Amino acid sequence: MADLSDITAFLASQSADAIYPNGTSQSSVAAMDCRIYEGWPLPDKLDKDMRGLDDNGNPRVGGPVANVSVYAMPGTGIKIFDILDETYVLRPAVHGMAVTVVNGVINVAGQPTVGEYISLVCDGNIVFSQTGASTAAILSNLAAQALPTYPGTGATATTLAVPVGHSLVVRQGAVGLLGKAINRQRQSIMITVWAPNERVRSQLAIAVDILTKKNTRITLPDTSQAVVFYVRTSNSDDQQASGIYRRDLIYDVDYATLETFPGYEITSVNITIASAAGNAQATSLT
Amino acid sequence: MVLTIYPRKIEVRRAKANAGATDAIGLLGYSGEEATTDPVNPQGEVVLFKDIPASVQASNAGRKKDSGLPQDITYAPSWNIFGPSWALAKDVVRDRDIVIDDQGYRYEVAQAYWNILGYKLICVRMEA
Repeated sequence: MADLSDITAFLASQSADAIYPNGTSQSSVAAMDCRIYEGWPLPDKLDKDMRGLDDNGNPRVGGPVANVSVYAMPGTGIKIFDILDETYVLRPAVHGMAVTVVNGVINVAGQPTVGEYISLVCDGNIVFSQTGASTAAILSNLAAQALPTYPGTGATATTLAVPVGHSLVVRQGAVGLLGKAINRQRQSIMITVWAPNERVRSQLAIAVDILTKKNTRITLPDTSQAVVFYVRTSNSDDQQASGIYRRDLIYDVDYATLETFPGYEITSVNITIASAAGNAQATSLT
Repeated sequence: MVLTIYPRKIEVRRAKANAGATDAIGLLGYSGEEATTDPVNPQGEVVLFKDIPASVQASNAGRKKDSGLPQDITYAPSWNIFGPSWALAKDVVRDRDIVIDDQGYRYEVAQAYWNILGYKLICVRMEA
């Protein structure tokens, strides 16, 4: 499900693409090393990166390192209005088995996908439904379920014979993934460039800003979409005595909270009908 | 005599760099310090010294936070931690290192000051 962490992870990843358009084996757009991450810099590490020192305080081989951090600004989340009554199929059910009935014997080819099942509706009334790790397991489970009602039921690894009275309906079903957006919210995300000088700061910030403004509709790992739009930028030279030039790029992101749940293909239906006296009468329909 | 001057034991830790030991560049995941010494956790801490004799002395008491819990009486109090020169050599402790005392309290070193008698670590206690 989409969450704030997915948004910051996406923006950090996109910022890395902007700064290293050809990957980290090539130089960055500012022609210097750069670290991109979610969260905040560790102060001691940031000081060393700006001065070009390694963890032990010795001169670093690659020289100074610019930093780009991505963080959700506290207290900026709001609810936005949306109509949220639609359930979507995120991943359709996939059938791995092919079921045929030949001369009253059920033949199954292939192997089930995870959670796939076979249902039998015998004589228009009695339902047997089983899943299993393999076709043989499903048929064996079905046979065990049907045997008390239909003595003479027998299964092999690929066939099942149930001596029904007058009708046999075989259906197969599998499990898909459904999703419903249960909330939409807007959150401000701050992308901060920490650079050792103004030149690097503007080169990194321009690259990140252009790519973020270009990609206004993003798809998150759970298939839901978020909308990114620019809010404001602030430059800060307060820390130049520490050798840090900072620019904050602030974007609002509208994203959905997506609840996902399994969806089962319906292979049989039971309906309870109440009599005139109010007593429930169980009935099975197929 | 030593025990009376330095009756406490402390442990000194340092945050791993967010890049870990590899000095990686590019996209690095999350940056932040975690109070774990798990060797594979890149956000954890490295134990630099253990069982260092020390004297932990109260300094400024700190104020109550505006947004504190009802029982909070003080927040971020300062403590002076002294370690002898024969146990902590010059330059081994840096500002922003973490000190954990034998009662489990956690401090961040604000100013690490060394002289011939040893370290004076002006620390702020880290607590919720």
